[in-house]
Amino acid sequence: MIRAQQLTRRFGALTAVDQVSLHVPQGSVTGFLGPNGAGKTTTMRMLCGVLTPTSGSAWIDGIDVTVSPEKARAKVGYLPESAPVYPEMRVVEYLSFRAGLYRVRGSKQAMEQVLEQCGLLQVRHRIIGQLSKGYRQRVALAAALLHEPVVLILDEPTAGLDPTQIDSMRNLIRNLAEDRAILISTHILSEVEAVCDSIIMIAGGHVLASGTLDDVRGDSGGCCLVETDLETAAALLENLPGIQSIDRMTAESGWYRYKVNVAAGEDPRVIIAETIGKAGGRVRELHAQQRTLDEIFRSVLSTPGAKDREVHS
Amino acid sequence: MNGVLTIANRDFRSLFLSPAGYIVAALFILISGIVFTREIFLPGQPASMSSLFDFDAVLLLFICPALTMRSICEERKQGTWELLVASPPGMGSIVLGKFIAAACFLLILLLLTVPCVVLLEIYGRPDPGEILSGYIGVGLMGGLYLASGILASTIAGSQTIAFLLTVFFWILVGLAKVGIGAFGDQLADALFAAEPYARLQDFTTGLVDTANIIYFLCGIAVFLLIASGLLELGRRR
Repeated sequence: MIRAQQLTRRFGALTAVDQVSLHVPQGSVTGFLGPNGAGKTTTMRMLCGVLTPTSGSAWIDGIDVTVSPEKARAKVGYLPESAPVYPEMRVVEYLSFRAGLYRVRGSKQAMEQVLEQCGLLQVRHRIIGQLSKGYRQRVALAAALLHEPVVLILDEPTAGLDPTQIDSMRNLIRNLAEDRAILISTHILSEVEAVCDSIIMIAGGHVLASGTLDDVRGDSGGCCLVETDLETAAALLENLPGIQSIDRMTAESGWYRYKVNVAAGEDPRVIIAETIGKAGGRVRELHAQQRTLDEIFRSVLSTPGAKDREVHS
Repeated sequence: MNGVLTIANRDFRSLFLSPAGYIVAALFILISGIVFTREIFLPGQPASMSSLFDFDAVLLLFICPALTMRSICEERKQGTWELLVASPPGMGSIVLGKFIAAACFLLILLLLTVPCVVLLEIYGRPDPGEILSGYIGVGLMGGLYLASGILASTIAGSQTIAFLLTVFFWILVGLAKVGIGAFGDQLADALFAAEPYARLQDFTTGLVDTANIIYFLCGIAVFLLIASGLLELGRRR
């Protein structure tokens, strides 16, 4: 549905997006992660036709955005970061304006549907400028959904919403994903875990990691929590196969807590217990943990390659 | 060219929703009314609107940029520009839609001066051909100002700059005529041909010259084409 190959965008001497390739299939919600200035918004703008790529290509539902931009734009529903709307218009006025822009057939019906989907039925005749931030965000989303786009590109859709609004926005996004391809940018990592089934991590204009959540988690390994009364456990465990590093966490009344970072696909729990036992120590707690997206994100960002590229771009 | 009317419709309504639109309209009617009663609607004066048209042409130099200064600047500022650019209509359609909206508003302003003509008709015997030609001239002149104002709105970063840019541009064009002797004959001719005021004089005295109509229409087209070209370039820059 959304496909990009070697997408590059330069602003003068600055390369904001450098050879980004991505694929978002139908029925999937893909999270686009990265620190500020990573190139997320620029990539999204290229996919929506707001900016023309310097080089590379992108396809929306099989239509090349550089060859027939108008057709491609008609297939995308776009929600920019600030969720801009015309403050002086009424909700229904704005929606019918958008329906005209996209030549929506049966626009009355389509409007009723998005008003209901986005929970706007009660404010339909209100002036947008007088609505709260959450409602304005929903109006912008409703406008993006009006022409039933096959592709949705949402730039930080939950920014500035309160917790209940965030929850309903996430539910809405999950429901919408059934027959669409959705690309969401965010830097709230918990949001990705809540809504997305795959992710693309980007920094300095480069894709650093991509795949389903499980793939990315699997690639980056996991960790074990160990609590033992053996003071020298860290030095012992460090040399075991499959163990990358050990962080000492806390110590209280003779018990030491370690976080053991494990390479991808390894489960050294049995060996850890045995090693400590042989050395005469006791184990009070031992369990494997999946690394949080937060940790993966930081470790991906701190790999030497990523740092390098960030500096050069 | 799809979406032109949708965009024109929205912009036209928004001119009515903003106080600027009403202030501009009120000012125009007030000043036109004063000029009409002080200069034209007097015993012994010829029943001709030409002095009002001449005055309105000057007034439009300030009114037209005020109508167009928001058109693109404001959308950029509130972020709606990005949404407009992401929608199917191309830059040409967007610019044309915005021009049509402003032109319709101008048309309404001009129609509001029709009661003056009715008064003249009741108390005198004006030449309807001359009046109609004057309206066409002022309308075309206003259209030229609007088109240049839209171009200024695409270049300028703020509404104020867009307004000043348009006004100063046309004042400079007018001044060029004053300093015309300093240039060579050919350049003087070229400048004179590019200057709209003399052409308006033809219209207000009842002379509808095809060359003048073509001049104004081409001027409007050139400004709008440059504007949409620059905006299209903005996608690539």
